[in-house]
Parts: sequence; structure tokens; C-alpha cells
Amino acid sequence: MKNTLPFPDGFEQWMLEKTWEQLNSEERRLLEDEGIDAIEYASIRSMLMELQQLESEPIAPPSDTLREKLLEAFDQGPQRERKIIPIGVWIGALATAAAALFALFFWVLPGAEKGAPEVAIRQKSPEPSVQSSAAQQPSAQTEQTPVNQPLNPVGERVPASVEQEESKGGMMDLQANDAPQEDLARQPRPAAQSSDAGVFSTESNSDMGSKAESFSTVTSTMAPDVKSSGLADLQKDQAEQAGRVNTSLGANPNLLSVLVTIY
Amino acid sequence: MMLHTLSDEQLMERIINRDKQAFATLYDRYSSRLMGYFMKMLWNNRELSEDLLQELFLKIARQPELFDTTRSFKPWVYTVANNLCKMEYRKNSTRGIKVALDNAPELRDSGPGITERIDKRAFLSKLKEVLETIKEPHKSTFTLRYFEELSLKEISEIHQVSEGTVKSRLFYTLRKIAAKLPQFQHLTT
Repeated sequence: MKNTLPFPDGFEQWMLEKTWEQLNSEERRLLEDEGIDAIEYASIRSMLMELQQLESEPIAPPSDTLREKLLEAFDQGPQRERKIIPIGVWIGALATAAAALFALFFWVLPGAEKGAPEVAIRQKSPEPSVQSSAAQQPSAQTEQTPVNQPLNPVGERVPASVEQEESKGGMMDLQANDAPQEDLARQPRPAAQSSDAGVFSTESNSDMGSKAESFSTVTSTMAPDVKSSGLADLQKDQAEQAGRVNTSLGANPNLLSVLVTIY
Repeated sequence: MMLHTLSDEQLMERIINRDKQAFATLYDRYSSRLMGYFMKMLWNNRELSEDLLQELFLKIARQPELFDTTRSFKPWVYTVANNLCKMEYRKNSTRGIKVALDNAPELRDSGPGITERIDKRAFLSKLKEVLETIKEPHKSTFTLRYFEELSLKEISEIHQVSEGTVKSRLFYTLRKIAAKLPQFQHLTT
């Protein structure tokens, strides 16, 4: 609607004072340009007069509890701006933490793993000698078997497989060597041995003295070179195993192993 | 000093200095009329109106310095009230909630002039109903002018428009309402 209506100082007073008939031709023309004729003018005027006389409807005042609540709020003092950390800061912190973890898993740790093979290689270097000695052992054993293989009380030789199982390198041997001597004597023997009398029959005794005796009997039955190489083999095997563990880490730097190692 | 004799702006100065009595005086002065304004603007929903009234006075209690004491309080407080109503309109348009119109209270009395009073009540009721169909800012302009009896200047401050625009909006709304309520023209003729 254009502001060209003849409402100089507020149309209300002006409309209330003048009827259509009291309007001059210029004022009528302006209203007619807006599409307002005498009937509509009377209608608007009537409405305006009604609004002027409008008594505001009595509205129940707000509850007393609201007043009390607001006065309490006023007593609490002005609102202090709480130090609320914006959500963006939280997101940023989480993203930084995630990036740090990502870098740790995929960059720093693999980098450290790359250094590991060198250590592993250094640790692995004695392995050939261990392996060679281990490889030599069976041959020596094989050669010496007829001489060194212990006899059971019946005069039969202890089966080579049993003897080899005890003296061969690798995990089995390492486990046997790791165990204290008493435990070594206490370890259950294969049925073939336990059924034999003599040296192995003492294993069934529960007293420690007899076990030690049986162990000494076992060791005494070993060939001199095998006996002397027992401790050295143990050390070598331990070194070998340690090297093997390191090698396995260095050689398989996949994420899963890294994660498992970390956790 | 009697706080009741102080102007709104003087009371606000005291409120800024944490004068509880000044706050209570200002609340007593404006709570009912602002409640009425909220009721008219918010579909006669009393609960909602009281919520917004509380929000408005909490704002005054907690952050009175938001008011510039060199300016007039009345347009400012109605501006805040009007903004709260706008927010409520937005919420409702988002939620798609249609708040039922509350009919005018029933008349239980009788006696001389009852017909005229029934007419007046019916007119008011119908007027409110028609007013609901009027869009913003015309509705608030009309309400501020004819229910809250604010001056054109004050309304222009609240809506931050010229007085000419306020007049134009009022006339437009008046014309629309008059066209929708022909049955009540006999009241003044």
C-alpha cells in the first residue's frame, strides 16, 4: 500500500473525525485510487471506532510463584558467563588425538620396526653357528650312538628316538634345558623309558636325593661332548629363541602384530 | 523514596545496580500487560505466555545492562517481547503445531446492558480470531497499537521502521479486518 493516503498526523484521528461526506474531493480521489469507496470507508471507520472503545479484556495476572521465582533469580545476581568449551574445540581436540594415534600407529611405530631387523640380524648372526652346532649334534650323536647310547638294565639300548628327543635342539630341548635340574628329572618320560628298569626306574622315587641321583645317572650316560655342550647349547638356544622372537617382529611388521605388541 | 513514582528508565538504572525492590516494582508495573500481549500474540495460550513472560523478566534480572538507560524502556521491553513471540512462531512453524484458539470466556452475569456486552465480547472474540489470520509484522503492529495502546513512534522503534510504514500497516490490517467482520459494523452506527 502506498503512503499517499491522506493521513497527515495519524489516520485514526483523521478518519474518526470525518465521514465520507465530509471528505473533500482530493481526499476522496486518493481513497478511490486505493479502491476504497464510501461503503468500505464507513466500514473501516466503524471498525476503528470500535477499536477505540475497546476495553482491554481482563486477563488474570501471572501466578505469584512466577513473581517469587523471578525475585529469587534476581537475588542470585547477574548471570555469569559459564566457560562453556565450544563444540568446535572438542572436535579439534578429538581430531588432534586421532591424528596423533594415527601417526603413532602408522608412522612412528613402523619406523621403529624398520630399525628392528638390524638388531634382529645382529641377534640372528649367531644363529647359523647354533644351527650348525645343532646340525652337528645329530651327526655326532649318530656317530656316537653305538658308544654313548645308554643301556637299560636288561642290556638293551635306549631307543634312539627317546635319546634324540632329549638332546635335540629347538623348542623341546630349550624347554628341557629351561627347567631346573630337579624338574628335568621329574618330567614324565615316555612309556618306553618309564617301563625300563635301572636308570629310569629311579625316577619313580619321590625323594629328591634319588631324583638327583637319577639325573646324574642320565648325565653320566651322555657322551662327553654332549655333556659339555649342554650348557652352551642352552645359552645358544636361549639366544636363538630371543633372536627368533625379535626376527618375527621385525620380519612381519604388519599392523596387527604392531597393535598386539602395543597392547 | 517511593519507587512507584520513578520512571521505567530510572527503575532500570536501579535494577542494574541490583536493587531488588526496583525489579519487583517494574515487574508489577509490566507483568500483567505483557502477559496480555503474549496471550494475544500466542493464541491465548496462558502457559506459553507465562513461560515467555518468565523468560523476559529473567533476562532483565540477569542481564539488565542490556538495556540502554538513555532510551525509552517501553519500546525496548516490547521489542524483546515481540522477538520472543517471533521465536515461538518459528518453533511452531518448524514443529507444525497448531495451537487451538481459546474462545472468549463465558459470560455468567446478567443485567442491564448485557446485550451490548455480549456484542462487545463477541466482537473481541471474533477480532482475535481474525487477527490470527493476519501475518507478521501486521499482526504485532495492530496488537501493539490497539491492545497495548503504544504510540506510532514507539511501534516504529520496536519494528525499526518509519512511522509512515506503521500507519500504512495499520490501515492495511484495519481494512482487512473490517472486511472480515461486517456483522459488527452496527455496533458503532
